[in-house]
Amino acid sequence: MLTVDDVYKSYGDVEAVRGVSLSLAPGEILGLLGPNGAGKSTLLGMISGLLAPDRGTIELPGAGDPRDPQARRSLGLAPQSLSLYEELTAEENLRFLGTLYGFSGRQLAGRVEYCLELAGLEARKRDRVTTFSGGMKRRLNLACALIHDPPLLLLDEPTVGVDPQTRAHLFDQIERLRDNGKGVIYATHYMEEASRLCRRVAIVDHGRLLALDRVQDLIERYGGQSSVRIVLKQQPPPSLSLPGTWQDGIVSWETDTPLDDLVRLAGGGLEWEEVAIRGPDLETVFLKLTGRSLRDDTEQPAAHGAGG
Amino acid sequence: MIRVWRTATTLATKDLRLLMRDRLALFFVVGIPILYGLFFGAISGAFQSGDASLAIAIVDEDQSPWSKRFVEILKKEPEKNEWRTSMTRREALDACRRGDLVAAIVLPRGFGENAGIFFQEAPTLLVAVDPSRNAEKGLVTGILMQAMGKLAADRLRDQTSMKQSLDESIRRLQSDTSMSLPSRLALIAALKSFRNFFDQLQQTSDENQTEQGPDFEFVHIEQLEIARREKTDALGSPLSNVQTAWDISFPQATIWGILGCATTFAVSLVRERRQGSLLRLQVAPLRPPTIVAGKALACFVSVVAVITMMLVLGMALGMRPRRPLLLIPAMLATAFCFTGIMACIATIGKSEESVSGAAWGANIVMAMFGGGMIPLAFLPSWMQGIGYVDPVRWAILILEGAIWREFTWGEAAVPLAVLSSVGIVALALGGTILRRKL
Ligand SMILES: Nc1ncnc2c1ncn2[C@@H]1O[C@H](COP(=O)(O)OP(=O)(O)OP(=O)(O)O)[C@@H](O)[C@H]1O
Ligand SMILES: [Mg+2]
Repeated sequence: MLTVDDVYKSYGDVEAVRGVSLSLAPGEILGLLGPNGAGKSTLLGMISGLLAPDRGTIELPGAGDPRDPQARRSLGLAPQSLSLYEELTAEENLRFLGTLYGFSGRQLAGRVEYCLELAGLEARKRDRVTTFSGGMKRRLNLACALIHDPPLLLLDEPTVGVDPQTRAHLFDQIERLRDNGKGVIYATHYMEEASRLCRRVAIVDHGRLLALDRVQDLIERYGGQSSVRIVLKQQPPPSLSLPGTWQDGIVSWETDTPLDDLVRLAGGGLEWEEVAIRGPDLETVFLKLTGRSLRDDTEQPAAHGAGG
Repeated sequence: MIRVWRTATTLATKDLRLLMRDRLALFFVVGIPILYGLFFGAISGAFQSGDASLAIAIVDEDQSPWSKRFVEILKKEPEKNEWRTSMTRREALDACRRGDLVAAIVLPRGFGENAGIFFQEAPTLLVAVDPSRNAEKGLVTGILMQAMGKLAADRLRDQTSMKQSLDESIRRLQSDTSMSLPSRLALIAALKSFRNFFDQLQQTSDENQTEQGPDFEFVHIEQLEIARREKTDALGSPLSNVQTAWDISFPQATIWGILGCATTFAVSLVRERRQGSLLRLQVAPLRPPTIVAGKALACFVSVVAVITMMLVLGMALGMRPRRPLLLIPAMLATAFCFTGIMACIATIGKSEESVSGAAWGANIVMAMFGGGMIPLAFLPSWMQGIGYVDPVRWAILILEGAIWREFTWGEAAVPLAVLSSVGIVALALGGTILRRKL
């Protein structure tokens, strides 16, 4: 439904997007994973017609060039920065946008109702946006993209500052939309989100598309070994050969066969208090592809409260 | 086209709703003009003219030696004043009503007979003052009084020289032998009685000059109505076109509300960019011109609303617009003009601060030279000249034209044309730049 063909975009000397191509099928959530400044928002800006690509073409579902206003009816954008009329109520924001898209009467009321429910804001619909918490604004920001029921959704980090329950609620909603045949591009730098929601993920860095594939395939191809870490109860028996380094009562190593290794160690008389196995994930894929960790740039919000 | 209109209406409705919720903006748009109107209405006439040069017409309908002398004296009065002496009464009153002149002074027939002679019935002078310059009324009266005093002195000097020539004649007659005695005596007696009359005259006028008797009147100044409708009583009653002080202060005050509207909407465009809502409009199926049109429509509607509000308030206070029909094109042209100005201001800066700063800077300059702050008459003439390129001046003029200047459609055409042209040019310019920026 959406095809992006070899698009480029520069801001002066900064090449924000360099030759990205991708396509999206109806009923698919495509993850756009990359660190800060990777070019995710720039790419979404071009897909939504806000920016004209320097090179390359973009074709919207059944509609053509997003620079054509009518073609843009087929897409909904939830911008990365909150884009709301703060002095209007939640309901008024939605009604206004709905009217712009040509809805009226009962149809409009239905759409507004649906979006309020999706954002979980029915109870606060008559309150001005200024009185909302950050998470509530974020939810409304997402809901505003859905007011005209577009087949293509562009979500630019829609869960920033949202609490875990709300995040789960939003994920459910997004999955529901996918099940209804919507195509979704989901830009994020949280791999957990990408792996939870997306069938396919595009990894971008410095404006380039480094890989685009199903999550499982990416991990198989670039993920490498699992890492295992055990905390010992006592000194290991001297006869036992340890698979990794031993320091301060902790042994850690990397392997393709973590369970086999553990069985062998247990048979050799090793006792441990704790064991942690971490399989390869998008994080390791990203590390492999870019030589950098995603977490170097940004912290997971979940990590704040838990203290690591 | 219908869709564009509908979309623009949707955008404008949203903007007006936002305006209603922005207390500070509302204060600028509604509060300031009301305060201004009430304040200046209440203190109207409290101004004193400084260095202003006044344009005044003198119409000499008497054309007698003494009326001509009076005109000469007037013209030598504060020389900076601009005296026009070639107008008819009708022309002078019209010019005054249009605001081209501060005052018109009419010397009616018969003025020269008694002018400057004491103890005669005071001559009548007819004076019309532009009601918006009521402050200068006292000034004009002062000038007239002073001139009248000089005329009286001239006439007095004239009497003295006549007395001398009478004395001289009497002396000659007494020694003249060529005339028969009876006729000589009769002539001398007549001359002497003349001489006595002058003596008496001088005596009483001397007394008067020292005592300033309470019922003495140098000149009787009657206010002349500058209303268009002809009066059977040409001397006019002291009824003026301006019925209340609000007639003057409200058009001026309305300007501040209009400038407030233009600023508010110029700033709101930048605000939409800052708060990101512009992004939503850009992603929506709208063309950039439609977005600009939405803003323009909101500005236009709010200007019309402010003018209406000020009119209603003024009328509640006793203001009675004399050309109610003219108010409609006046409102529309003014709203159109300042909508264009809004579009231009919106292009100035990138932040709300820079746009509102620039806007209020521009507003103050426009208001200053256009008579929105101090009546034009108080400004030096070079500044008044600048006013001709100032939309504020034309907006005030057309509003006054409808409220009390009683503009004909012909007279209204110029300000209406100026306002509309400024609106077209500014909207084209500002709109083009904005569209590119979107
Ligand atoms: N308006 C702009 N003017 C100049 N440079 C820009 C502009 N917008 C983005 N850039 C640059 O383009 C590059 C890509 O930015 P972009 O916002 O697309 O990244 P992103 O992947 O969305 O990052 P983030 O995760 O932080 O949102 C960055 O180097 C950024 O500095
Ligand atoms: Mg971004």
